[in-house]
Amino acid sequence: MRAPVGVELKRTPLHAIHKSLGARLVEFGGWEMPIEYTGIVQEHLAVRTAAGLFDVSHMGEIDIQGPEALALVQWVTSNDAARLHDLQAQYSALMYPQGAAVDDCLVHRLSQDHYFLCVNAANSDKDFAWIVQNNRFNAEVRNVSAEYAQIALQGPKGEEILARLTRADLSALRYYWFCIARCCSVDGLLARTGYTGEDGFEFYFPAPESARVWNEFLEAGKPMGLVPVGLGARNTLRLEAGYALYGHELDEETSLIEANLGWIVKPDKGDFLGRGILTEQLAHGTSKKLVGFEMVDRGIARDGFAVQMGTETVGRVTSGTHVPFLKKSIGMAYVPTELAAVGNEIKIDIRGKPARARQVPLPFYKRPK
Amino acid sequence: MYPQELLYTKEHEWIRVDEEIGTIGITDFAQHELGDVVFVELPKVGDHITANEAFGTIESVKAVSEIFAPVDGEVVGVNSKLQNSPELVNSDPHGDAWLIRVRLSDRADADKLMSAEDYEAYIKEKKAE
Repeated sequence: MRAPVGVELKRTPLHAIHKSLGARLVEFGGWEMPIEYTGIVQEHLAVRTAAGLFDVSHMGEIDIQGPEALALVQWVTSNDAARLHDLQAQYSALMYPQGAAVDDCLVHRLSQDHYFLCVNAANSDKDFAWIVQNNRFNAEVRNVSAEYAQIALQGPKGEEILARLTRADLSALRYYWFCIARCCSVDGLLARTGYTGEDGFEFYFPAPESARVWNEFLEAGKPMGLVPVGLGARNTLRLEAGYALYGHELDEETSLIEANLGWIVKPDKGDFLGRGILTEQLAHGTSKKLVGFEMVDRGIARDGFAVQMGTETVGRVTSGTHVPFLKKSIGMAYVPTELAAVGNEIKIDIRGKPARARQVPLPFYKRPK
Repeated sequence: MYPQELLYTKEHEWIRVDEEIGTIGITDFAQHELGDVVFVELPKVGDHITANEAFGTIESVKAVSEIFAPVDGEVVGVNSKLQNSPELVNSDPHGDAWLIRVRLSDRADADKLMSAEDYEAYIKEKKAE
């Protein structure tokens, strides 16, 4: 957990607040970020049962405008942005021609000729350069990451808390829709999206206001059990919810189909980077596939552990830990497609000892409706 | 904070020596660094442990950590409570969450370890890094 020597870590505008809240800070994707405040388990459970507040200002934002904005978005992403209405968001991926993702992202449509992408922190420069390089249209592309702070309010009490901070009609704001809202006297983009498996909101707003906004959120939510949540619980929450994390389930070698993300691949929309191979894979399948598993034997499968058949390594764990809400050791792994079936057992090499795990359906956790 | 009757290692284990029997655990500093402990893997009674070598692992939600033996010895007791309540390592690292008891091969092994006072100075330095 040490940054490469000589590399200055980036900090979000809330860095000083995290320190004052007693957060443990670690390096993540070139940023110094809070991994936990009081503890991962407590923070994770707060999000499942009440609410949690996350500083996700490290995430990148890319703004695409102009009459050909849609043409560019359609060319560089896998999902069909033409299906979006104004103020609607969509999970998608920025694509390489080989069928692997440059990054996964959220595409927000502000208007027919204006799109706002939220991308992973560690990838934002790479993503921006890739979009610019592939801008054979006349769209205006700007990396606006530094201008925005982003906080996520997640959990069953989220709406009730947010209602104290904005006059926006939250009950009318549906999942994966957003509005331009004034929240704590700041105008920003307020989306009903998240990365935890709970109902929740993500608010993008001008960075200089972030300390005041963060404090007002925390204060308003305290009576309802709102606590600050670090990246540690963000990871265990997304794992329970079965969401991919770039660098784990996704990387520059893995195709979207292998990663079970065929649902964000829309060949019918017209040509886009990677369309050829993804169409082929949608029709004929892939040789490996991402599966979810839970441990049968004692032990915890961690990222990078080998999946074995006999003594042969046939796959790899992409994410794995003991998760606080389900109270189980779970994980996701790539396995040969012929071994991928719910109920099938696999063996995972835990520090030289083979341990049994059983494939289970994804997601591991689904929130009660 | 750190009990006087315990001796400490640079790897953040402690040992309490009563005659030839040593009780071993990890320190409050170590549990705090690890975060929420969810799994503890320990040797069996009868196993031999060797000073400065790993004899078990403690896993938190976010990390795996090996536990190093402060002394040579034979395992004579294992804290079975930790199998179902690994979180004891966070709540009572110097007491209820002892890991194993060993019969020391050589009582003099313990002389090389740090006193509570030395250990506190040592972790103060660590924290300042």
